[in-house]
Amino acid sequence: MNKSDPCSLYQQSEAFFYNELLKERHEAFMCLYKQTYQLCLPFALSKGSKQEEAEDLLQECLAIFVEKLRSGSYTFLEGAKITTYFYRIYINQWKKAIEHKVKRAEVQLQTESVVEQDEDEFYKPATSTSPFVAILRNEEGENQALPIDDAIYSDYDDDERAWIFRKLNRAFHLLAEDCQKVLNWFYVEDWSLRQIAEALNMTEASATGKRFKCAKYLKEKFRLA
Amino acid sequence: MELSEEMFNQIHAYLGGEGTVEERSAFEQQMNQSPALAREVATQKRIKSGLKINEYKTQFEGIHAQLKAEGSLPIVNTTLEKEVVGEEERNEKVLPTTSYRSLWRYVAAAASIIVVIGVGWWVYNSTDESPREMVAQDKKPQTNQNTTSEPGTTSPESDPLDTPATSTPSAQAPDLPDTQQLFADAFDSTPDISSPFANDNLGVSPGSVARWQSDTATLHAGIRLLQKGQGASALIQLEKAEKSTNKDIRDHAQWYIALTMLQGGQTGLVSQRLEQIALDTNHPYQERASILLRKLAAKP
Repeated sequence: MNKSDPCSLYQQSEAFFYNELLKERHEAFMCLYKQTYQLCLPFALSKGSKQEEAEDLLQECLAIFVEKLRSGSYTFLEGAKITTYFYRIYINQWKKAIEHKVKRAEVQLQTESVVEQDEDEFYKPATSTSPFVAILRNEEGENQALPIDDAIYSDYDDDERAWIFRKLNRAFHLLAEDCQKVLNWFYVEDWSLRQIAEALNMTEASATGKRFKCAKYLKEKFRLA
Repeated sequence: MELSEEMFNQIHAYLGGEGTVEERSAFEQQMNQSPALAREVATQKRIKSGLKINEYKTQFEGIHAQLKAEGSLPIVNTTLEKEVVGEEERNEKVLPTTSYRSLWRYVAAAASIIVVIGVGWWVYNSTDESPREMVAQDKKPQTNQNTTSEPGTTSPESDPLDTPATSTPSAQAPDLPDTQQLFADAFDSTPDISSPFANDNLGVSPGSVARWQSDTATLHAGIRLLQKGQGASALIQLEKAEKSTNKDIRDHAQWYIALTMLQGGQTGLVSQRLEQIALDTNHPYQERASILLRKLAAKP
């Protein structure tokens, strides 16, 4: 049961694709997933990442990217490819994931040497502060060096790495179901207190108290997770 | 800094863009003077964006499951991939559209052969059967695409493309035990699972849509495995789907778990499962479960 290619809708215009992503159209997300899967997975797999890890990282990076879209910290530039921008995010996060693993001694020294050995192929020194560039193939099929700008992550500090989101997710799922619901409505869905109170069938004052208690539990669990 | 409820509300009012320009700049001044408050604001901002990101990640996990279920995940040309992706799931993931169709052709051909052998066997043995048995057999549905298992309500016409779906359960092989025939009668490879969301998904949490998509994909994966006769693997998927927050998916999963047990010949467990379904007046399979229970009870 193969469905038609979701990307066929967006082949004509990158700006249209961007607008559809902004509207969070399911087809646009499907297309983005397919395109980035094809683009990013070979990179991670060729560097020795496991398929599951590479896919997990892809999904994490896509989530970060969508949040950037939603918050307006990424805006579309005419003539630019959305997936090229995304590829930089992926490489950057992959590099950070490796660094994090090395720090946690999950990866032996040979992994570090894998990164170093492959620098010539995928990275080369650019500046003293940002020593990496990505080599991407342009439309003419030529390799093109693009600096991996750490400023992409300017709105995330050093702690804001993919593993932090995992830690937060773990903490969230340690909460009781009713707290998960309240915090989901509050933090994710941006519900007003009145909406939360109605859903819980309680007064706004009681809902405020519950929201605060649950948020405190989450913060504590997050610290311990 | 011990976070008070009042402070928490103020932080979120600020993060939510509430308040006048004066009130907001006063709050910013407070932050400048209190590093602890600034840290708390940053923490709350991080939790908010982190939870949203996790919701989006769930949505992309759902998309991954959907593409995988459809067999339309792109092929990744890396030798390493072959080492890390194992078993038959990989086939579903990397098979391109054309190969998938070719595969169906082979399965359809194999199924046709089984049907021909089955029919031949039936013709060969038909003279030994009593007229009553022959009528009973004629009434049995010949396809699994029907949404009901009641005798006599099915159309004799079946789509040739659907032959693979009917091959395992409904080919009337000579040594099929009764439970297998009951399974063949009850099994439907394409249950009707309707989306609980409006088409535009407006006002719906992306996480809810993603979870529903993911659960639906899991249910379909279980049904496909059951169709292939891989009961143990099917059960894993169906039990996952049974934990769905969506009642419709849970109900479907319960029915197919019962069918998995039926396929495995575990009649005692099947009856228990079916009784639970038959007792639930809102269960979409209530009537079918009751019919199947009666058939099982009548089984010698």
